[in-house]
Amino acid sequence: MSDQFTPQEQFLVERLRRAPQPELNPSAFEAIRLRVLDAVDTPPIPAPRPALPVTTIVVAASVVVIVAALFVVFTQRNTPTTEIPTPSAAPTATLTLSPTASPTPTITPSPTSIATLVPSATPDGTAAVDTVMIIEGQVEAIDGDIVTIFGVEVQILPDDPLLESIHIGDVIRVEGSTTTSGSGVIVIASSHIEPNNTPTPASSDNPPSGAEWSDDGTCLHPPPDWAPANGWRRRCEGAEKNVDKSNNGSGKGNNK
Amino acid sequence: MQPLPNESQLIAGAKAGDKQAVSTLYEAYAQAVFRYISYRVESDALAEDLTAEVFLRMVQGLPTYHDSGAPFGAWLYRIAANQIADHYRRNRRAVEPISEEHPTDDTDPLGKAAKNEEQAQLREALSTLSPEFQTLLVLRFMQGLAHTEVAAILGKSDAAIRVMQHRALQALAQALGQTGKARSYLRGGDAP
Repeated sequence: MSDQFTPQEQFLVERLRRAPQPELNPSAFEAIRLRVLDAVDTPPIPAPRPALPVTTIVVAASVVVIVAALFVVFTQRNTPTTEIPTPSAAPTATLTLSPTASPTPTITPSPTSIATLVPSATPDGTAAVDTVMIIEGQVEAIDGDIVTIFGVEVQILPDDPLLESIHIGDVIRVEGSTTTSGSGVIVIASSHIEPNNTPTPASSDNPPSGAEWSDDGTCLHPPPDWAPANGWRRRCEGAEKNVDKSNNGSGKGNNK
Repeated sequence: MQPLPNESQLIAGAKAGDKQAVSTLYEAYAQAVFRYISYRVESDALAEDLTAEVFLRMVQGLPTYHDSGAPFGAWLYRIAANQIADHYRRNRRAVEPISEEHPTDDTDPLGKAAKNEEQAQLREALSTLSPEFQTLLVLRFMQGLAHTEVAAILGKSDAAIRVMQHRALQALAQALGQTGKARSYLRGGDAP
């Protein structure tokens, strides 16, 4: 397909076609030929890349450092922190029963019962940390193989001889792993210290008359006023309000 | 831009380092490349230097040259266009004065002067156009290349080249100082 030019365009086209055709003069033509043929033997080395200005390098390095710093900060912020308790940082909860818990503040001071909760964890780095808890304190209730110590239910192995010898008010120390139940935490005991069968009221608390009272594990025999009987009171005081008010503190104790 | 009869063999020989093949290719294309460059730069001396660069680049690039079916000359013109662009990039369009040098031909000094005057005028006008317009006008009309050849060099379609050449001619007319008249006669008015 031939071009369709207007007369005026054709005028310019003709002018271009008639334009002088410059030519390499023979000496230049030959000189270039020699250079080219020399290059066949020794290919020209490509010109080196121009070096980057120092300022460019400095700016680029600064940008890289800033970006790297921002990346580190960003990743640290987004990394979930997993707190793995270490043995040295094991929290120790000490529950001290003060005498003010007693309904009769005028009584002689009761022996201070201390429950030591020592949850500890093995720092194995896993998410599911098995917490070991040590509880030492007075037995408040016994329900089958569940022993309650300061509100914490401790499950004793059914064939454990402890279950036969333990009584409410005994001070025992158990160690076991914790598990959660619907109502709270249950410690499954793995080891324990034989119960201290010393009656809850220390001998120094007994009246000079020589009367003694001991907790038989039920709420049927309330302690006398002089007996601290913290375990019994904690266990039975709430219930007795609904059962038999007349028994509250009116007993003489069991004479032994 | 007719390919040489045995161009494929020459290219293969040149790639293998055959000096005779390289020399033949140079002889076939040197003047055409020089003419194209001379209308794109300010002086014949510079055109000579750039022509030499084009053929040195040819030798350098031959080992990786693949015959894609396009004329070998098209590859050379592309190298030349790149060399010219590099030249202007390096010199930031520091346009040198139009060369006053004249070839040593004393047989017709008046005719030669007129030719030089025409060449200088066209050079100056072309230098105001875009590189694509310059290449199109020089190769299409001064060197007589076909649309397809120019299209291959510029990397455009034939149709695009046909449209471009009208625009390039109008731009050249304006650059030649015929702006007012050019607009009227390009619309069909009286020719100058």
